[in-house]
Amino acid sequence: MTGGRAVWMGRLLPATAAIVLVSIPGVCEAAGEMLGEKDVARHFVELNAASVFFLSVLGFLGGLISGFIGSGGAFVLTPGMMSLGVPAAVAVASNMCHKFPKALVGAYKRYRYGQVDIRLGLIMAASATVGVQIGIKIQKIIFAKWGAAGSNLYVSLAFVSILTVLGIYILLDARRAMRARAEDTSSNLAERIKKLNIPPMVHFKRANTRVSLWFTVPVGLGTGMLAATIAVGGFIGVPGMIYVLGVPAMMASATELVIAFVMGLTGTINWAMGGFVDIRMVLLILAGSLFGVQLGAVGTTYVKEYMIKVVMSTIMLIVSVSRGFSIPVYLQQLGTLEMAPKTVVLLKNISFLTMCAALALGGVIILGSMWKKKRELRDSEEIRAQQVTLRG
Amino acid sequence: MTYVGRTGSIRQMVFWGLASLVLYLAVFMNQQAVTDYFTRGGLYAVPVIVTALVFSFVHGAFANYLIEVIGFKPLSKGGPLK
Repeated sequence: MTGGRAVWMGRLLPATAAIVLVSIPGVCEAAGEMLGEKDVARHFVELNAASVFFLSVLGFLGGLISGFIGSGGAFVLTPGMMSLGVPAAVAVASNMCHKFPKALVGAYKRYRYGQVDIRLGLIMAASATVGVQIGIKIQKIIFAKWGAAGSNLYVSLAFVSILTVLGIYILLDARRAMRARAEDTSSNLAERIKKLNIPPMVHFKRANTRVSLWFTVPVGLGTGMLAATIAVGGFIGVPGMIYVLGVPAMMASATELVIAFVMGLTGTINWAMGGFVDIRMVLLILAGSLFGVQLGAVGTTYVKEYMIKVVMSTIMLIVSVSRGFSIPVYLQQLGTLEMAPKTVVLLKNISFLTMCAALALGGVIILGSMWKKKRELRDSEEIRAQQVTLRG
Repeated sequence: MTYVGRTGSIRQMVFWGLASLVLYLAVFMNQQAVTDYFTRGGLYAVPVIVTALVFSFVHGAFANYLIEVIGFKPLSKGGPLK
C-alpha cells in the first residue's frame, strides 16, 4: 500500500463514514418537498396490474437516465407513486430505497468500464450529506414561516431558476463540442482552479485531476443542498464536477452514482427504521430500473462524451418547464392568486405529464444513439466482410 | 458475440431470470405478510435493506445477461470492451 493510499484509508475514509453516519437523520428528509403532518401517514395501497406496469416502466426510464447521466430518474418517481394514491412519506421512503441498489449496480457497471473515481465520490458524498442538513434547515425555516405551500413554492422556484440557467449553459456547451466534432469540451474555470495550490490538495487518480479540497467540498455541499431542495442533487453535482473540478463528463456522471448510493442507503436506513418503506413498490420499480440502469451504463460506451451533456440539459430544461406549471398552484394555496379548482387539477396534471415527457425524451435520445451506433458498427462489419470476400 | 458466448449468455439469462421470478413470486404471493413485517420499523429495517440488495444482485444479473443477449455489449474506443 503506498503512503498516500495509507493516509486515505486510515484517516479520510473513517472521517467520511463518520460524517455520513452523523448525517443520516437529515438525509432521509431530502424529499424535495416538505412533508406536512398529514403527509407522514403509513398507508400501503393495493397494487393492480396497471400500477405494476406503470411502476416498472417508470423504473426502467428512471434507471436508463440514471445509468447514463448519473442521476435524474428519481424526480418523477415520487410524484408517480403519489399519483397512485400512495402517501407522500411512503413514496419518498420507497423512492430512497430503490435508489441505493440501483446506484450500486450502475456504479459497479461503470466502475468496470473505468469511469468511476471512488475517492472523489466518497468525498462528494460526505460533503453532500452535510449539504443536505443545511438544505433541510433552510426548508424548515421557510416551512415554519409560510407553511407547506410556501415551502413548495420555494422548491419550484429553485427548480425553475437553477435548472433553466444550468440547462441552457450545458446545452450550449454540448453544442460547442458537437460543432467542433470533438469528443467534448474542457472547462476554462476548472483549468484555472487546478492551478490554485491551496492545501490540502487531493489527487483523483481515475479522474486524472488534482484539486484543492476547498473547491471539492463546496461542490458536494451544493449537491446535498439541491438534493434536500429538489431531490435531484446530481443536477448540480455532475455539472459541478465537470465545470469546477475539471472531471470529464463521462467520469462525473459515473461518480455521481457513488454519491447516489451513499445518500440512498443512509436515507433508506432511517425511513425503513420508521417503517415507511413499501418493499413491494421498491421491487416493482427495481424490476425496470435494474434493467434500465445497466442499459444506460452500456449506452455511455456507445456515444461521444458530449451526449451526456445533451441528455442532461434536455431533461433539466423540460423539468424546469414542468415545475413552472405548478408555481401558480402554490401561489393559489398561499392566497396570492385566485384559480378555479379545475384549473389547479389541470395544471398539476400538465406538470406531472411534462415530467414524464422529460424522462421519455431522455430515454428516446439514449436508446436512439445506441441503436444508431449499433447499426453503424454492423454496416462497417458488413463492408469489411464484403472486401474480404472480394479479395479472396 | 460469438455463438458459444451467446449460448452461455442465454443460459445465464434463463438461470438468473428463473431465480428472479421465484423471488418476485415469493414476495407477491405473500404480500400481506411481507408488508406487515417490513413496515414494523426499528430492526425490521434490516430485512428491507437485505431484500433490496438480494433482488439487486439476482435481478441485476438477469438484466445484465438479457442486455447481452439483445446485443448491447459495452464498446471501447477501439471496439468491444474486454
